[in-house]
Amino acid sequence: MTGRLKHIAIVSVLAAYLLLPLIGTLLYSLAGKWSTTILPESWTLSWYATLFQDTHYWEALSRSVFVITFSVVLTIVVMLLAMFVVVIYFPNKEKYLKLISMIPYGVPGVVSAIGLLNIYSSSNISIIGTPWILIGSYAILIMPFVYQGIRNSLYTVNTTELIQAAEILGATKTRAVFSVVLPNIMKGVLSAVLLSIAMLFGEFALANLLVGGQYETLQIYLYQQLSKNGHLTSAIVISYYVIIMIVTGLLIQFQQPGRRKKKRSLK
Amino acid sequence: MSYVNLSSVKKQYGDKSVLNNISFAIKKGEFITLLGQSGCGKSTLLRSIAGIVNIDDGAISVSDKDITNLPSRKREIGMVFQSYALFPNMTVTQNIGFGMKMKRLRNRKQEIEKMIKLIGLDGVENHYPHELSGGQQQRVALARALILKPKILLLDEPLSALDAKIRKSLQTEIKRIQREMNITTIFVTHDQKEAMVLSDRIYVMNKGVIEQAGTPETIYTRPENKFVAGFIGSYNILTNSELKHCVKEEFDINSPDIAIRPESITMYTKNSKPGSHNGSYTSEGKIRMKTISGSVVSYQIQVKTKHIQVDQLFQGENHLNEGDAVDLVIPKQDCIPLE
Amino acid sequence: MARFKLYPLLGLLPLALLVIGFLLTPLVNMVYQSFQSNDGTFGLQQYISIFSDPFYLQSIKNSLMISFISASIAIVIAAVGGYSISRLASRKNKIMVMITNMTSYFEGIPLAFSFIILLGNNGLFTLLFSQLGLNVFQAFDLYSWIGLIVVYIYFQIPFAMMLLLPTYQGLKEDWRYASNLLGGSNLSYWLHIGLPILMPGIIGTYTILFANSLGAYATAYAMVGSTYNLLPLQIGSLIAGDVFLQPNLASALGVTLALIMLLALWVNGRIMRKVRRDLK
Repeated sequence: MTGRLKHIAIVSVLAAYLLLPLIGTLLYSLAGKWSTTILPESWTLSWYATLFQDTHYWEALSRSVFVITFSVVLTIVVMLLAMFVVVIYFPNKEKYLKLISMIPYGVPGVVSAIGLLNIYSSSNISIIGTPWILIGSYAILIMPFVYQGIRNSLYTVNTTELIQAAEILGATKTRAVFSVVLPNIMKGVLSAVLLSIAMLFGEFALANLLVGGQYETLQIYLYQQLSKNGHLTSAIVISYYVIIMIVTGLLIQFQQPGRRKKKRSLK
Repeated sequence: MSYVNLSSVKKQYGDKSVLNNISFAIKKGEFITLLGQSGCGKSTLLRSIAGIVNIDDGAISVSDKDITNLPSRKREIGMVFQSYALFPNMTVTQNIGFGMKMKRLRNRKQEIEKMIKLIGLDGVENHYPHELSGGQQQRVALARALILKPKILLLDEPLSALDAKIRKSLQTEIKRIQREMNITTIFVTHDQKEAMVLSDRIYVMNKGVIEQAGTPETIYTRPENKFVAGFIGSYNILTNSELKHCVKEEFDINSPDIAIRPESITMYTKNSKPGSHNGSYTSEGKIRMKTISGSVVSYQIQVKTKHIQVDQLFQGENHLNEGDAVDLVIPKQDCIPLE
Repeated sequence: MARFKLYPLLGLLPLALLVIGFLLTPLVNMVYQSFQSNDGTFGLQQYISIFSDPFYLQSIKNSLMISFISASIAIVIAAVGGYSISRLASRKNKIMVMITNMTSYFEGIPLAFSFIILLGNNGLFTLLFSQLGLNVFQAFDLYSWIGLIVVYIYFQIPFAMMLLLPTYQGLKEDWRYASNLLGGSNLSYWLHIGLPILMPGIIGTYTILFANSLGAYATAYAMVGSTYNLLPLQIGSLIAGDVFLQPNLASALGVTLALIMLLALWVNGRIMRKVRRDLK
């Protein structure tokens, strides 16, 4: 079984490598005095205590949460609506929806910031520097992922046929969507939501270029702390990693199809 | 008076004509089958009746009411999909009750219980579709359609995903329930044996037209054209000149093609030929291959350059072997002229 | 008939508004602005000044280089690592998928900071190695070209593995058995079956990695500020803050970056069609 061992060795090295930044930062955030030795000379939780007492941190975090919640809900609702209309009434026009939804995938943050600034810095709609421009641009940023998530689950549950079956049994189209399709694609939608949250929590380019210090999100706040106390910054970074861990952990739970089913049939 | 009427139904997808001027009439309580290969238009026809597909031209009526432009939910039609289309988020009971809920019908609980009994789903009422076997899912789909007492029941290859044994028992089951409820049923399949077993009448479809309609017996014994003969059973289909070339007697059929059922031909070993055969053609050939399938022995006989299949009942050890020279006797009445 | 289709169109309105307001209009406007000269006439002036300015040419070259190098190294590591992950027993596999999934979101400012902790002037490894008397990090400067590449490679690897894992799952063990039974060696299995089947996935992933690092802004911004000459950093410095001095030049740079990405995707499509004729 040497082949097996080889794979385990490769994967272990890989895992260690991938986790190094996390571990290093964690050590640093828990270190009291640490200048010349390999491991810290003393341990402390005081950096976390300081961080959690910093109102700036909580404000930044809640701004991020606000912007992310708003933009994710916006995209999900808008996209679900559009998908249903297309699937039910214009099924052969789906490729256009796909094309539009995929454009943001090929446009990096810096590039979309140029156009947004061009338009909104000279127009009457003065939303530059406010959360609203961030919400709009974030909604666009996650569109490809939301589109794919919803589309895949619509495809897996065989939506067209479910709607047809419900209609033959007397349901209206709207009724069919709410009672038959939505409950079955909820898992896919939630996956798309979690993926979007994980992505947006780490978003910096648009936040920095469109609003900067005028609306300090978690990433902007972190950037501004970069040149200050390293231990405190480590604590912020760890808090960010923890958020990502929770979100991606949930994501994996959602993406494993067999799990919940098994539980139910055991019962 | 006929119950379901289709007149000149047309449907095109782009340039391709999927339904080309289809008309037929079905009596109340009849079980009819649309039989054909995939892509022949049978499913599209079924979906047109269900209102899932909008037809380009023609009219569909059920018990004298024109339903051509009615949305599916107002047609009072039940349908079982090939994939069953059970709602994965609902239990068996909820799936069966969905239609009644949509139509706000009363006595839901009793009706569902009655249906579950009728269709043999006791014990799995609270299971979700993914916890059921293929056969059970099939029953749920059937129950869900039947509970609304639809005017017509449409079945779109409902048995194709099941294995042979369950398939057989469900065929009998469907037939039983259909008779019990006296429900007009249109069944779609590509399996001619299934069509024979179930139907009162069969419509053989090909390329968007109905090639032949009739009882299973007519379809089987009197195919009207080459397509139907080729599709039904294992007919020997020969051109006029081929058959003329093979037989010893004067040949007096004029149709371009002739179909001969393998079991209508009798076969004798060389030199054991008993007397003359009035009203039959005779021919001679050599056995090239012999296959035994259950009660039937099939021989491939080479006659000149043609191969002809002859089926015999399996009778003890008294059969012929590959390489034997044989005489064939083909009754004239079993040579079916094809258009 | 007209009324029948009008009502569902309302459902498309919100998406249309969002897309027009925050995607299409800005993009179209950017392209339009890029063809405006500084004195307001229509022309290629901005592009001419970009492509005749060694400074901007260098930023394009640097961006292409860093994308090429980091994507190439990351794809090799991810291809080998991804395969090993896919061959693991289900429990270990699950843990590893979890780690990969999580770390694929480690990028930008937090990641830059973590690397400063690890490899910066007073970083963990820098200290560790100097204590051990090894001078490997003496010449290493995290805030340089090479440091940037190290970090880029890091964030590309888990991302690449996430994209590759489904491809590996499609690799059926039966094919290997069939190949062996037909007399093929392990090598010939990989040459004739394994790699050809994986190739579209690998090429596709490579293109995404390339585009990903081409447009990456946050990581470089946090590590080197505007001191290192990369295209996204140059664009950023032209538009950051309230002073939006040269919108036309910034637009032209933006269009250039977008075009490079489109070109990469186009080349990807071409290669894909060459590699696998059986796909579509």
